Amino acid sequence: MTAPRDPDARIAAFFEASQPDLPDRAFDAVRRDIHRTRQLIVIGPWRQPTSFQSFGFLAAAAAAVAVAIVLLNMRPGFGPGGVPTPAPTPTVGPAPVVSASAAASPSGPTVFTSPLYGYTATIPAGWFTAPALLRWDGTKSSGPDAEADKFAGPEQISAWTIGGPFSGDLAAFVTNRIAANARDHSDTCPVTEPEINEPLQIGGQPWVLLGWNCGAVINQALTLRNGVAYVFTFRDLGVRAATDPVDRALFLSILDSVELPN
Amino acid sequence: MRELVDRAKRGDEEAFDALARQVGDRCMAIASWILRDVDLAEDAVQAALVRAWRELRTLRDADRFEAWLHKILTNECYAEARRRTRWSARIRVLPAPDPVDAGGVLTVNDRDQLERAFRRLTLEQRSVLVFHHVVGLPLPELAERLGIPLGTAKSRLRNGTAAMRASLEADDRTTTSEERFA
Repeated sequence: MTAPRDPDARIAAFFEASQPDLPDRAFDAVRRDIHRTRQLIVIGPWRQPTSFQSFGFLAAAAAAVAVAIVLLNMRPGFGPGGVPTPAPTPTVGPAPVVSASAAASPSGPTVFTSPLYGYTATIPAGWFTAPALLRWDGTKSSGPDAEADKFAGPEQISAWTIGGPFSGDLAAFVTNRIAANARDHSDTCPVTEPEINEPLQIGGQPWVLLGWNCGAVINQALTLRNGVAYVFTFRDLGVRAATDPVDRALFLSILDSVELPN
Repeated sequence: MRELVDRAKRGDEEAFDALARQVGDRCMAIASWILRDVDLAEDAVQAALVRAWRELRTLRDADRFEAWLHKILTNECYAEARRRTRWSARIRVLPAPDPVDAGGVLTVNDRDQLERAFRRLTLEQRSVLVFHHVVGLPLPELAERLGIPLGTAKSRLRNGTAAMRASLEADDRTTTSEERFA
């Protein structure tokens, strides 16, 4: 009679059987595929939540946004941490609760009124909007965080806006934001100088356009009014360059529609 | 490997190619075990590597590259298996393994029994067994790598092992009984 053999030893031996190697054709295919595949851009806090562009996220966010805006409106003039922040006067009163809802613009362009920052901008048809939950303090990273009004366009296009107090002039603010990029995004966007740094005039208001080459279009339009600095950021993850004519035209058309609060 | 990961994170395709060649065979072994199909395993590894390239910048710790890749690979294996269900005509099973086993512990019959039992396990149970026996991970690390609770990893290992052990024991009983009546 055969002595019983240890089943666990046999199971362990079973898993010692060698398996086929990955053939060269697979490595070649991977090589071809990665050449055609853009890496996701992760720019520190600029990183967009992956679900941001989905309607589900925005619909879920809408309720939270509305509640948060109501609460914030009950404490006017107070930013995060309860510190009073000189912010632009909102152009809307109780209405923000309505306009604050994250939503897709319908068949045509719609005018977005920022509940916290008070500017208005015409957003292209079909874009989703989600207003900021908190006021920007003028120093933090200027990413699409809770302090930003967010706009999600088609494909991999998105934009966001922040506004906050700044005591210097526009040139100083530009320097400040370039330094902020080095401070906040050096891991994934290690360029220290923007590839584009050019002045703009929009409706008599001076702006500066910055274009960062971080493996995608990341353009920022900066301006100052009444001690409040604004950063409008446009990003297209589908283009690997600091600029793109179609994106530039789209961004400028949005900027051209911006009305800052007086 | 860390340097290659860092270079690849900056978009260096050559570095990623070198990285893929370092980890590709091990990934293929894992996928082959989980899927028990050469073609599907190859597809899963390819998909995992391309996805890893695409999402590489989300990896914070370059030293965790292989663990991170294995998690992606496991998910791609599950996806390939689902596709196999829809396109079963593509199935090409693994060729019979080398009959010479480690130390003569296994008979050909044992291997057949274990192979059949292993194929009857769920993909999730197979994954746990593979990362435990083939990759050699202890359960806590295995659970982390697969993104499952430790208790789940334990129960999958226990149930999977029990099923394989049962197949051997059933076969042993049959053999013993045949010997008795011989």
